[in-house]
Formats: sequence, structure tokens, C-alpha cells
Amino acid sequence: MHIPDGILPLPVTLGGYAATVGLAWFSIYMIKRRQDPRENIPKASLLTAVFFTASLIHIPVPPVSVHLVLGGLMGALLGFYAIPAIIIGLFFQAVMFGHGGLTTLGINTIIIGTPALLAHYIFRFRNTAPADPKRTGFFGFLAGSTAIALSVTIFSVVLFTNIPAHMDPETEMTAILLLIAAHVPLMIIEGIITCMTAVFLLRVSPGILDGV
Amino acid sequence: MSDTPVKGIALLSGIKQLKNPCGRTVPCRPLENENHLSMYRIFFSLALAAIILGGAVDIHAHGVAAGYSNVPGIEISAGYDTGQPMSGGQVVVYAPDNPAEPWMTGLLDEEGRFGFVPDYSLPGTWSVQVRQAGHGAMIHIPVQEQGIDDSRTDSASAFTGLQLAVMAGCVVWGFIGTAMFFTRRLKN
Repeated sequence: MHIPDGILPLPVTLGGYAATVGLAWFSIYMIKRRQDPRENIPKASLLTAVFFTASLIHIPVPPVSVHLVLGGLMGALLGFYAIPAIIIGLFFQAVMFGHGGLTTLGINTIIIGTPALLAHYIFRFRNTAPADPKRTGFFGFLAGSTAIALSVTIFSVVLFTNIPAHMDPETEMTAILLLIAAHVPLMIIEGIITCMTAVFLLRVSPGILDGV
Repeated sequence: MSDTPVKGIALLSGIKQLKNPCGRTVPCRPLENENHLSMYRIFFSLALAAIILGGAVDIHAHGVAAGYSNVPGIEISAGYDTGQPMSGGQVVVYAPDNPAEPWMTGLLDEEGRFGFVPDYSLPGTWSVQVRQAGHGAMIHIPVQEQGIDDSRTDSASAFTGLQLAVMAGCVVWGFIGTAMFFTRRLKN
């Protein structure tokens, strides 16, 4: 899910940066509208640590292996704080582990950050009725799995539309389709992780879920 | 073609072992009856047939002739950081005189390997990109007219598990420190 340097043409990487700047500006604008914008920074910082290390956890889905993304969990628990958290997490993943790249930091933020915001809005539907573990779990699962589905969709569209002329398009498209299929189990896994985390926090410390 | 006699030798040595009925390396006692003799004749005939058939298959396998020549080349190996080889990945080789147009394209084999012989009349930095489904890497190989410049060989080496753990631990500690800093400010 992390596109490395040298894969995409320059206009696409620049477009990714431009879109990320807009997304970050909107998120920070929404954060600054809160009564105390600093209130959720400790939570965002700890979840950034979780997001950063999640890419090291690989799940074998023969014949390939996928890694955790946790964009849905970030969006569900952090709301608009998820965007700056994801940008920082992706930066450290690129610099420390070589997951992704610095030129593709913008497009990778769009691939993971936009679904995180969608997950945030999905998870907010649980507030339409009194807090209930089943309801929280359901919308948590939906947020986690939808975020991965949207991430894979954006990732695939970006790659499909940018296959270089000198490459065999059929071979590349087959590989991309294989990767999409491999992320179907990850949708379920991330949905379960988000569901269990949300229900656990609701029972142990419901204040963490409030106000997101 | 050159390995045909070697196979023959291996099979002949197998026959020598069959002549030893007790299956040990020490010499056996003399054979006692004709039944044993006929059994050995059958085994010997089977082994001889295997040699003939084996040799025939080696020499005339689908009428394909293959050979090799000792040419110094470059072998690329690519794999994911999980250790899984990038089998079937696409390879693009760029020569130093034209980094925009591919000099050669190909596919990685099942073990994630790809071999090619650069044009040594084009010294400089050759670039090789491996790519599969949005994942990939590019390596740069310094090539001289005499061969590859080993002193400047570049490879995209992976970190060890311990190095990754230490790096991840340092960054995570930074995030925890940030959280503690802002928690304290909120309490104050």
C-alpha cells in the first residue's frame, strides 16, 4: 500500500503533494475549531506510534504477504487528527524502513489518509443512538474494513493509470489484481481490529471515544 | 551434454551396490542358491535398461541443444523485506548513455533473479529497476570497460531484525515522549 520512489511520474507525485497540502489544511482547520486543539495530541501521538510500527507486521496471504495499515483505526479514533498523524507516520516509515518514499509521501497520504477520514465519518454514525457495544463494534468493523477497501481502490487506480509504456501492461495488471485479492482478508482483519479496539475502549475508557 | 557420463557413472555405482545383498559396506558371504542369482540378474537388467534409457533421454531430450559460454555478467536478485522473492517482477535496465530509454527489459524468475550482460563498451553507471504491482526498487551498478567496479558496488540491502527493532523502538519512544509532554501540559 506504500508506493516507493521511482514508480510514479513526477506530475503524479506533485499532484499527490498538492492534494495532501489541501487535506492537511482542511484537517488542521477542523482541529483548530475545537475548544482545546491540544487535548487529543497525546492520543494522536500514541496512535501514530501504533500506525508506524503496524507496517512491520506482515500477514502471509499466499502467494504474497500484506502488512497492516490501520488507516481505519486511525480515522475512527482520531478523527481529523488522523491526517497529520498519518503524514508523520508515513514520513518515518519511509525514512527508517524504506516503506514508501519521500517523493511519494503525498500520494501515499492520499491513499491512506482519505479512507481514514471516511472511516471517521462512518464511525460517527454510532453517535446517532446511545452508546452500545454492539453498535460501536459494528461501525468500528465497517470503518476499518471500508478504509482498507478504499485505500486498495485508490492505490490500484493510481497504478493502473500510470503503467509505463516500456512495461508489459498485462503482467503488471495481473500482479495488481493479485495484490487486490490479497487485501480482501486484510479488510476483515482490520475491521476486526478496529471493532475490538473500539469496544474495548468503550468498556474501559469511553471518554477516549467521546468528541471524535 | 557434458553431464551425461557423470549420470552414467552414478547409475553404474548403483549397480555395484545392488550386487551387495546384505546392504552393508563389508563384503558379504557367497550366494547360496540359484534364486538369488536370478533375482540379481533381473535387477542388473533393470539397471542396465535405466542406464540406456537415461542416457537416451539426456542426449535426445526433445531434440533441444543447449550450450553455454563463460561471459562475465550481472545477476540481479530482488525480494520483499519479508524474505519472499519477487518472482515474476518486471526488470528494466537503463544504460549510462540513455537513462530515459530502457536498454533491456525482462522478468525475474521464480527465485527473484535476473541475469544480463551489459555492453562493456558503455562504461558508467547502469541502472536497473525491478517493479511489481507498485512495489519496486532501483539499483545502480558501476560498470567499467574491464568489468564491474566492485569497490563502488551498490545494493539495496535490507536491515536485520535487530536493527529494525532498535530503529522502531527509538521512533516509538519519541512518540511516547511527545504524548507525555502534552499530557503534562494539559494537567498543568
